[in-house]
Amino acid sequence: MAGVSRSFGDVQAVRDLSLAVPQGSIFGLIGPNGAGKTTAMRILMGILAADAGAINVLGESDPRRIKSRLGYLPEEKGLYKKMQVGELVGWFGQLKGMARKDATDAARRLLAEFDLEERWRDKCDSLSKGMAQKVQIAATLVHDPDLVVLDEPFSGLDPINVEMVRDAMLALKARGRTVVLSTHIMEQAEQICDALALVDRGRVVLDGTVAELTGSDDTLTVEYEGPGADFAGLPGVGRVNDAGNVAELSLAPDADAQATLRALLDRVTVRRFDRTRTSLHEVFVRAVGRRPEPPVP
Amino acid sequence: MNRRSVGLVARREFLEQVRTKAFWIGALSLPLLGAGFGTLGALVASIDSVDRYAVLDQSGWLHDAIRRHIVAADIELALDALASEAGVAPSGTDRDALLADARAAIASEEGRTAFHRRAAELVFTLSAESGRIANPSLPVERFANWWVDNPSAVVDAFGGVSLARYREVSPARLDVAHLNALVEQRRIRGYFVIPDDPVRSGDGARFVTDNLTDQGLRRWYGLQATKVVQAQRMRERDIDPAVAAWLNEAISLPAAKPAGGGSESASDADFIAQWAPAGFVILLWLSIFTVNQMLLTSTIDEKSGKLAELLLASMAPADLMAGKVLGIGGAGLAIVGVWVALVGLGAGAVGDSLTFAAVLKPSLLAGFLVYFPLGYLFYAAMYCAVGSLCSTVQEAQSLALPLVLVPMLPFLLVIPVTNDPNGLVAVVTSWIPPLTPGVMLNRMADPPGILTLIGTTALMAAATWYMLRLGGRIFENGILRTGKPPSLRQLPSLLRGSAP
Repeated sequence: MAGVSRSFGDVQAVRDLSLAVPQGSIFGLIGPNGAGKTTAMRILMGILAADAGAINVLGESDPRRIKSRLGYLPEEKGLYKKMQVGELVGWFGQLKGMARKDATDAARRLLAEFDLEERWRDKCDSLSKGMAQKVQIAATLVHDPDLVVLDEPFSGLDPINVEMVRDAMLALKARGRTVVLSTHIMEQAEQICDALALVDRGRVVLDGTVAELTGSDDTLTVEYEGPGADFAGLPGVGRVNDAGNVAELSLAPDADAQATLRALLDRVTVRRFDRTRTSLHEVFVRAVGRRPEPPVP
Repeated sequence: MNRRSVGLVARREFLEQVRTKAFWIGALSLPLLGAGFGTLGALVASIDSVDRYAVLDQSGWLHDAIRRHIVAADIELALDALASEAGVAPSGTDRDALLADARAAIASEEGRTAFHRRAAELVFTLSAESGRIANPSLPVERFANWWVDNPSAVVDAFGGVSLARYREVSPARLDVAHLNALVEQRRIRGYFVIPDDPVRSGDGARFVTDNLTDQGLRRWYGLQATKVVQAQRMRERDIDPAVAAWLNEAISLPAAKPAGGGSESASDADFIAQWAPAGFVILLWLSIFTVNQMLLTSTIDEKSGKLAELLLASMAPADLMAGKVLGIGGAGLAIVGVWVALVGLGAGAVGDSLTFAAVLKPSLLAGFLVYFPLGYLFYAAMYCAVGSLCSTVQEAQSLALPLVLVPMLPFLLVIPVTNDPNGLVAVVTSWIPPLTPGVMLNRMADPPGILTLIGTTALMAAATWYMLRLGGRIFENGILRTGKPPSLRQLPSLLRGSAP
């Protein structure tokens, strides 16, 4: 995407947004609510047209021409309640141009991968939220797309299913497919994404590989015990992100970590003390100036 | 347009509708409810309660005369019924003897006329006190005796007689206070007051009741009283009743239709055929409304069920809308098919194939097959557009209210257009696209010229095409909207695709 803009009335959802997603990678779009991630994804999928700018998706300037090569899982996910699970996944495959038999075979294989083969004939309204989400992901992937765009794919999933979906993404990447995902869960983005773009107010604020974004070893991670610790004023420490038992302390470039540790020991019982790279969470906070929204349970 | 996507959506929509029990219950309910209401109506009519009444006769003679007149009229009515249904007999004491007498009497036209005359003469001899006749040895006298003594049996035997609906009571006291009390206690529907000299003037006659809505009893007794008083007035002026009847005889103008160089009487089938287009108009609008309601609900379900975005990643909005319109339209045609089949079965069951053939004229069927798709698509575009802007049925109902009122107009036009298929109202409204399908189908009993047919249909087709484009544009920009439906002020920006 190059210089893409899109507005709705007076609201500028995306402004001069440029993104380059390496083919065969997993690319993360992170940003606060209303940052423009979903609009950018819709433009990428050809669901919305850009007011300005250019896009190139798999070598095609109009994504609508290559819908059969794209897979999309929107943030708001729904299913036809009265359709059977297998029928629904196969139907989406057919919509993407697959022959009926091929779509049915692919649906069967994918549902087995997601441990849902026994629900083949069940109606979608009988599924739990997590199962329904896996069915939606199966419907997105059934035609083996070259580019998969997933808007908050982990929301609503329990840890086991998160792992399952993550493995599916890694499998796609291993087959040379490209995955673009948005998420609020920074740890997952950090773990799974090869590259990231942080979007805020319709613009890309930061982008690059995870290593590039998280930078040098300028963060102290402290696991501690002690009531109401106050880390402000510690020598060499800038921003503090205190979660109660674990705190991230940003070190000034010329700070002495040992001096900081000694000062810490005067205030709390330190159980762990690591000098690490800046977390994605911290990068987010520094760039946007506020904390990311908590993940949707 | 991607025909494959459209076909897949259409097939899914069709199957989703016809696979549900609710669809078949809905399809069968209308004709079954119609048949049920018809049967219920007949049943209610058959068990209609008896209105009881009393008479305060200040003339001293008129009510006795009216009573005899009523009995005579009822006996004649019963005899007519016996004549037309010789196998039907009254139940009661004299059944076999009465049947034998009656059958003998109605064996010939002459015998029947004589029997009527004698019966009338005999019942006129009934006295108010005894209810007996002079010579009970005559068979018809036995009949009259039986009639007076067994009112319930008479009603059982001849449901159509006035005794079945209205029956006189004889209160303990015939004074106004007592009669008013009976009215208040609902023991009688009301009472009639006959003035001193009703032959000279009817002033002072009245019907006292606390139920002013049911006029049946008042009209019926008034008619009987009028006949008796008129007969008395003729006697006083020596006017021959036959002459009076001749003077009052109306000129009958039975309907006929041209046939070759002359004309022939119009049959029931001809009348039905004349009204058949109106029936088709009602069928047309019922089916269009039913199907479009399904379309509206389906669109809202898709939007509120958060499926729209997933679908739009695989197809263009226009393909999605086209698939929905076609699939649900197919389900609608299945409903119409069920209705027509059930009507056909019903007609077959009553053996009226002639009438059914008269209704199912090729021109009407052709008209339906042209105007159903045009009308359906025209309104489908509007309903899809409304559905795409709303997240709940409640929102859609308020937004769709004007859309419901406009298509109601052809219903209001059914009578004037049927009465004058080529009159000013029919001609003008034929050229107003939302009304064209209903009005033109209604005119099929006496089709207008070919230029009007082609012109109005072409205009309707153009309007439908435009409405599909407009509805498609709103659908495209509305289906992913969240929040409240847009205001009228926001509609232009919505059509441009820039609404928030």
